Amino acid sequence: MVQQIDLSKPARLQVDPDQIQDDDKPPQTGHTFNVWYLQWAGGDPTARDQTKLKFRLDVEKDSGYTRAKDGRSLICLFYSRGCCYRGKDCLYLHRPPKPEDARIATQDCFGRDKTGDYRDDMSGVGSLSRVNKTLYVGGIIATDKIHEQVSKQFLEYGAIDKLKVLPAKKCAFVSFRLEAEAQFTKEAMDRQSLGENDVLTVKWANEDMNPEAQRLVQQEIEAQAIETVKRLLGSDDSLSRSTKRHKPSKNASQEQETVDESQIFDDIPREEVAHDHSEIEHIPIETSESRDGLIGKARLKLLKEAVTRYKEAQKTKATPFKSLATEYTSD
Amino acid sequence: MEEQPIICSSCLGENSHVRMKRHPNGEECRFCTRPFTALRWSGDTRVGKMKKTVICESCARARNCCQCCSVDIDYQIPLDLRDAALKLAGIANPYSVENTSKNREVKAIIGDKIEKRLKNEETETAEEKKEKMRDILTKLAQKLGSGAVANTSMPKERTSGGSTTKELSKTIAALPFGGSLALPKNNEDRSFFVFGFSADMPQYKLSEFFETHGKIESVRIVHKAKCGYVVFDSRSDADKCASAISSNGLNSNLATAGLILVNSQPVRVSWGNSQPLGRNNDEQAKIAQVVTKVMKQLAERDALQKGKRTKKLNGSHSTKRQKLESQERTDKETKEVKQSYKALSRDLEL
Repeated sequence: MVQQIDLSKPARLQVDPDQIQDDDKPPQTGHTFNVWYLQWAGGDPTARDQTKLKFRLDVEKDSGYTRAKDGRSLICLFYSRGCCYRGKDCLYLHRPPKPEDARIATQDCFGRDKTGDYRDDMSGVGSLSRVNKTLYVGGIIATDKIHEQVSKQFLEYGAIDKLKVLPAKKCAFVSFRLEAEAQFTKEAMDRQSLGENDVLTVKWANEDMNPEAQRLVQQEIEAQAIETVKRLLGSDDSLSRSTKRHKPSKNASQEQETVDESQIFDDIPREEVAHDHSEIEHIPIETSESRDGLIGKARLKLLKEAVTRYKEAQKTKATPFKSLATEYTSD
Repeated sequence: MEEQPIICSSCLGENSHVRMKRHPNGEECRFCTRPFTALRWSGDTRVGKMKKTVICESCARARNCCQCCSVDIDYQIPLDLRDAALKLAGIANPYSVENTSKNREVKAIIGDKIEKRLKNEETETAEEKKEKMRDILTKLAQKLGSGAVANTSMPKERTSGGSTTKELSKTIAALPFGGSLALPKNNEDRSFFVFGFSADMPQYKLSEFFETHGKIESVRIVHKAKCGYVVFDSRSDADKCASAISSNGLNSNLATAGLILVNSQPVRVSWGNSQPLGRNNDEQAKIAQVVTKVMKQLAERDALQKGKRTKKLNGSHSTKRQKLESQERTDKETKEVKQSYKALSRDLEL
């Protein structure tokens, strides 16, 4: 039910930079103002969570193209909070996450590093110890239509898998299709309100220890595992072919350091600038036999081989390099 | 010679010459919390600009994962998927690390132990590694081919005790199980009662199905109770949806709730205005039991009716073409019913 977002228009300016005052401070929740973190220090630490934010993301109006490249860039954190002042000049994407986005497992969809463990209060970027697609939403006020209300407002930012509202506990648990959608929604809905008087606190949910829920999670992981194995088996023959081709070069001491011919040709190694900073170090990626030159004898030989092979391939119009490339970027 | 970092090719990037910069004070390993020598480089142009290692070398070696993105270095898949796949295939996992502690000190101790163990082990060459990798893949292929993949998580039977309270029986009685897709009298009605899906049905799949017929005002799916409501924005869209469902070929009996297949699961739909669906887990579980019972009854009734109809069709003299058509239809219908029964039996086991 996630709406189709029109990215043909430029991203709207969410906050006008001219309107921002130099002494713009959030509402006072402590004794002293920390100018470095732009937060109030001292006083009741929970008071900050109970103040509503000034801005809120409107996906339909705010989304649009920016200077970021789709598929290569990360999502703008300020956009998700509804307060990016750069608009179409922003270097990050102004749209909610998509399933096909490339992601690193150790970072969230905004490019922030995940931590080893969750924080004690389950706020923050999140942990890389497990894939968490579920958010805890606290501070809701129970009404008759609360289930529909939560569902409607959270749907804007991602596809909901499951939603459980506990009116008696004044909280809800929202599961999303993707982890990135949960990350995005967490930033978008934290300290916002559903109605008028409430302020939500959105945090990561703890693991559901209910055996039924655990069984479902296990089932999902197994289904995904079988799918990925099938995909890997599909590309198995290309794998064995590539290893045969690598054998004569003997350049590889480890799998990740094998040199892909296609990569060499795509990106001819640039000459290295002599480093004068003492802190900068060159970590050798090639083995010692190939370190006797700017490019290295072995590598030069390989390069020549690759070039001749590429030319042959061009003549026959065959593309053996493509299958190689897919093997390396299978994820 | 400098120790080589364990980094996957996609993290290293397309350029074959990578210059790395050592972090002056090192960083804390995300897995074992011990300090390690962190490296930064501008490698991949796909996501972000600078890359850095976040996992220490011994942790990465023990798990056979990339120090930067924590995917498996051989297959480029997430670690939990790799572990699940190996477990499914019944292959001993050489890379599983039982680091389940939440305590920082214990984590560090486990990290130390792993490092000691790895020092004693001889490092295998790339050729051996590839051989091993192919071996695992072929084994997996055999297992997958023979269908011997054991589903480790079989649903267990659950007994339910306790009596239904008055209030709960009232709630259940108020639910429109006997509803149908025939046009309701009230012209204001634009909401559907949806029931019979299992707990692993994603909400977005259901709402996707209904969105094909028009704009939805609100969705309320309670997985515990196996039922919910979908409210359309306008009456005309709701009408369209109802007629589309009743003419989708699965429904012969229009006096009962319509049958749809979402995510290859049978789901029943009928007109019905929003009612409370239980206040806590117990109440919702009771409602779910009623839902499964109703689903079974409806499936039986459908099967009976189909049986009657096919008899009639076969009895009457008809042209060859008609016969063929009816045969096709009944085949299709029996298939659907079988499928729905399968799903039902699974539901009843829960």
